[in-house]
Amino acid sequence: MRHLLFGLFIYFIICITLYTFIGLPELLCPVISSTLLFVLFLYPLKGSLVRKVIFHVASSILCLLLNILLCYMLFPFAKCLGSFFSAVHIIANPLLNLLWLVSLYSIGLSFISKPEKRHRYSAYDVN
Amino acid sequence: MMLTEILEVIFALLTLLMSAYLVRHYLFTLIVLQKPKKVEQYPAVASTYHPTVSILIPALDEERVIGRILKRITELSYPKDKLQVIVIDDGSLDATGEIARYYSERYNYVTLVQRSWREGRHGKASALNFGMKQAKCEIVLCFDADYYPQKDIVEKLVRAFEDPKVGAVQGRVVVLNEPKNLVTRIVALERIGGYRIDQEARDRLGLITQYGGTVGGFRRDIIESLGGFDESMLAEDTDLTLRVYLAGYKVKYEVDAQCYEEAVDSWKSYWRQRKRWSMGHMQCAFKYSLKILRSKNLKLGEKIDGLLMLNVYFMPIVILIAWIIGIPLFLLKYYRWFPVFWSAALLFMYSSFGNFAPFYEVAAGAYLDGRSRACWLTPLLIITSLYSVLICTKALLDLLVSKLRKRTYPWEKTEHKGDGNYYIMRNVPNQ
Repeated sequence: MRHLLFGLFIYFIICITLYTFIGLPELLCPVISSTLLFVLFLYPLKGSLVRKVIFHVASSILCLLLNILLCYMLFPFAKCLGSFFSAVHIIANPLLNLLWLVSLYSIGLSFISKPEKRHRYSAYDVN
Repeated sequence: MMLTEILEVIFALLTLLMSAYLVRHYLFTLIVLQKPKKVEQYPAVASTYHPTVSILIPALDEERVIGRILKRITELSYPKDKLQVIVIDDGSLDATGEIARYYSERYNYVTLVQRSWREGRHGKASALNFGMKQAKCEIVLCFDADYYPQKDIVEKLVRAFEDPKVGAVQGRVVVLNEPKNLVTRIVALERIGGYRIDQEARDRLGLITQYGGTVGGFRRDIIESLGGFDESMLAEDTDLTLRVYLAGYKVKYEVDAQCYEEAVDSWKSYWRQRKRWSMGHMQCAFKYSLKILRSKNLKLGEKIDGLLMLNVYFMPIVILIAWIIGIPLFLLKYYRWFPVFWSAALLFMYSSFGNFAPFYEVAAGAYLDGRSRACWLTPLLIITSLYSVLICTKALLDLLVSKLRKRTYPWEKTEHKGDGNYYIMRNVPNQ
């Protein structure tokens, strides 16, 4: 629980930093919500707090970069399609973010787990 | 104008319902993560409580796997003078009966009961009722023919019955043939979410722990007083769970009592098995939802959890409806809370089948088991989640059609290929 509280503290720092330097709500919303999901799902797990913080901050930066890239790539479409694009964007954007978020989270668990656990083939003993 | 407002209300309600499940499973995950119970490995637990135990093994055309479980049963560490093993050959057309007879002739505690193919083949509940007539012991345990239990599983399961309030017990199911292909790997993840976190959390919180029909058991006198298994139900296990709770008893979950199953290994078998589960669960939802609400033996938490558990197989249909309503609603009229609701609806795309454990619950379960690499497959839950939308919708339609026609839906057996033997040999080379 202490890790979770610390994670929330880191989350607020990330949010304030992003809000100070980036004013675009289209860019802020996915980053803030993705970062919150990482806090909720990552910090309650057993493991090194340092690794969790590193992973959390790195994933937030990655999320920001991906969304900036997405914005640049989609800008020409937004110009051509107008309000229709905005509708598609609002429906598809959470889906796109969720796709990479779940994948990164799944792989990230290997990073925060203890090495001796990581190399175990199976936890099961059929004997 | 009126239409969009109605759609808005429906969409908001559906999303709130989905969010209730998301929060429920997040709390389950937190509960188990806070104090993970260490899974005990061999040797057997020391206990002086040794009641007499009947083990029921229903089998229908299981020649590829029946020998494996019967051999294992002879290796159990439980005192054999307190053990009665009943193999129920429910009208098999293959060598299941002959293999079981081989064991019954060599081990005096193994009994074979047989029905001809004309009398048998009416489903698991019917076979279990047939076998129950032979059961003489205080506790009755059930194992499916494709399962492979730990040697000390009986000790681990029966210790729960020292508490007189416990009416049934459930052990943990682990997939034996997990490395075989993508389907078995995904099923293994689903089992981890369900048994490592979901059942464990419900047991700790004193909610409705589910008896899963195999790797578990019950007191014989209770099941007899309840009139045996209901043969009209496709999910006799969920039916029994609710009857036990409504009668004022509890179901205990023993995470240490592990048994290895041969999981379905093709999408076709997956569809058939899960459709049967869905229909059975939906039958139970129709039969017990009101009874749960009116029950005086259940606490408020148990009632809420019981209703959520019973209606879980309707959730893929709810998601489908939410998606269908959500997109046109947004195009007709935008409102600022839409992205939040929409994100909650999308989060469900990563839920496992059966108990709807979302991806974080499954990942946390695998993490607790020390299986970080298995976690890498969590994103693939999207496949089964989307598949479950189709399965549950078809299951509901078939159930409604069979109700309208007043016909009982036939039991569809899951085929077992016996591939699990390879994985047992690999893990236990000297066996």
